[in-house]
Amino acid sequence: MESFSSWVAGSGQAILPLIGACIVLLAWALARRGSMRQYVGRITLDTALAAIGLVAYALTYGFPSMSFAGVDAELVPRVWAGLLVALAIVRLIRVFAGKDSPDPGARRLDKVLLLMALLVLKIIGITWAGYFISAGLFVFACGLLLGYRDLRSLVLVAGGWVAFSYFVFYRLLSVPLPTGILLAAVLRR
Amino acid sequence: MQGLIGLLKAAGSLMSLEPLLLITAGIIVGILAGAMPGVSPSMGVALMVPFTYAMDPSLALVYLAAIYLAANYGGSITAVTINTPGTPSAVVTAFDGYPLAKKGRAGEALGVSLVASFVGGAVGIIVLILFSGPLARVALKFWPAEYFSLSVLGLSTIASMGGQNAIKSAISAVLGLLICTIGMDPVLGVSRFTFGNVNLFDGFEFIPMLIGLLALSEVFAEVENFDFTAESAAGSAKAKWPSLGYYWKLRMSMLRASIIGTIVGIFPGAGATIATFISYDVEKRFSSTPEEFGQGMPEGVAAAEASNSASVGGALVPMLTLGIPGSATAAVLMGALMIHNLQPGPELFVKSPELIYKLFASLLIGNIAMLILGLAGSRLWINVTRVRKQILFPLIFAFAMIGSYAVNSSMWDVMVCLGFGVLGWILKRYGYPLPPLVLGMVLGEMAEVNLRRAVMMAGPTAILQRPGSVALLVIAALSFAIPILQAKKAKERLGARSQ
Repeated sequence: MESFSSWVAGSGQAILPLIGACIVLLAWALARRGSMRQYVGRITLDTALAAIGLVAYALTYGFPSMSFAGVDAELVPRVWAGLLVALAIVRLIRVFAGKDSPDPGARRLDKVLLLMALLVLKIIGITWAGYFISAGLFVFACGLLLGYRDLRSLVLVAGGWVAFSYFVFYRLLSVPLPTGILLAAVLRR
Repeated sequence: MQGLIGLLKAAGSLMSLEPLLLITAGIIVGILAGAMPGVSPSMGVALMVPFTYAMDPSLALVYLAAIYLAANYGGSITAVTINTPGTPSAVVTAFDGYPLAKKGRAGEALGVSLVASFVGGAVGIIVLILFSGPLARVALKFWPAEYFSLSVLGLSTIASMGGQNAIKSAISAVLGLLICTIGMDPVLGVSRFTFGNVNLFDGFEFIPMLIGLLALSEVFAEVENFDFTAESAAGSAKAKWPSLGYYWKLRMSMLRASIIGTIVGIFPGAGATIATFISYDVEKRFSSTPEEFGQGMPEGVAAAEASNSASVGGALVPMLTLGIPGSATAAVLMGALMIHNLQPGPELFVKSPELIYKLFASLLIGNIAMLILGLAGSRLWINVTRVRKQILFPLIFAFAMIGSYAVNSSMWDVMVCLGFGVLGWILKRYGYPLPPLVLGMVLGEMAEVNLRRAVMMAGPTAILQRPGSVALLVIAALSFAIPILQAKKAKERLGARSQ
């Protein structure tokens, strides 16, 4: 057990989550091919929850062993992780028994994914171009993505947001909004 | 009698320009701080502390207490209009407030939230004035075992939150509890699930998680179902304000929640958020149509807001009488008092009774000012629901991002917000309710710390050794089982009827 604990505390920290991810991928691939095709989303999600519980449970073995008056740091996380695994398995049984409704339809999944990508771009943009430029561009691009075509209004809204965040957050509340690596370099010159 | 004379004298001394201006300014700052996601009441008070250095200590206390009082109400404004709770305690207000706004009844939701805040605030302040000493003594008798049982009671409310699926609800709550264990162990300081990442040492910051789970996930879900060719439905939102008779019908909901909010607020660490969850659950049980909760019930908004505001008075009880802050904001307030060489505790009542009376009087005046200013100002916020969704959604994203960043001035928090937004959207998509997840995150640390402390003090059976703890656990078990049994019976009845 001691060697398992030291493995978990070391390389296990990377390998265990990877194993969890593989289990989820396998469940997804199997569900897509079999007769449970219309439940693929539910099966994948419930498997992911069970995998999170399993990985968390295993990771508790890597916590530094420290005990005070018989109470260890891993006790409570183990209880929650174990419960999560058990409950997720109950959910999977219900799905396989046909007691759950099929997956919801995809609808405008493309828009949601594009929006998420835009948010990631904004986060990257804040680091490089600074908050104000990225936020203005984000509000403008997001409006376009959502089908708003009145460009003048969009520019006004984006500019209004930048002004609001500058005066309220930057000036009044003294929140140090990032100026960005590029702008900081230009200003330094 | 002596107390009443002291209170009247203090109220008289506040009836001059400077104190009244400070109360008004405090209320406006508080509402704004509460309404902005990412700016919590504690942050609002903390940011304003430097402005009070040059003030007379009693005026500083009056000003900061006004911010605290109003921030709890302010959180409900954006919770109702854009489903983005400005404060953690406004989460429950969003459950029914936002559905009401979506139905075009934003004025109703805002009106109920304001009046309930006023009623709750008044009840909390009156209890603070009348019973501060005895009530604080009761709270002081609580041991960790009782605190653990109190958190279990809070968690038992998931049974009535889960809608039709108790297992999904339980999974959400357990996931929240597990998320809560990320970071340094609160008792032994052991690093848990941090993967060596420094950002995870203190766990996830609560406000970014909340904004992601409740605001971003909602927008993602809305975008997925959005008809991009149709006109925004929000454009037809009507700002119809309720009549006095309408508020009168909600009086019992407000009173019940005010009492619960005050009592829960007194327990250090329990706080407004737990009070709102418990009050909401109690109100659901009292209702003849519990299935409509979460779909736009004014009783839900009234319960959440009354208990939220009542907890302010409750949280001040142990802070003033025992020097134990009942909430994070009370802790900031306590720090502010210490800056002015005032040590909260029993001695404060002996050494500076006039200061205590001034605080009580200012809270009463501030509560009335909040009603007036809230009524005058919150009409403007209804316009938020009239904005087209293609404009509103980018602004919600922008607000969520800057709100998450403002907590610690950290891009990590922005990423956490986005991550929890995606998680919330996925869970929601497959019918997992998000409120139990939030509840698990709120109660996780309280449950763990007190359970472990109790076991350290009295062994593995600690929670069963104290009558108060056992009583709370029995109530928790009943509170968990009754809604499930009721739902089962209702299902059977429906099945029998359809046959």
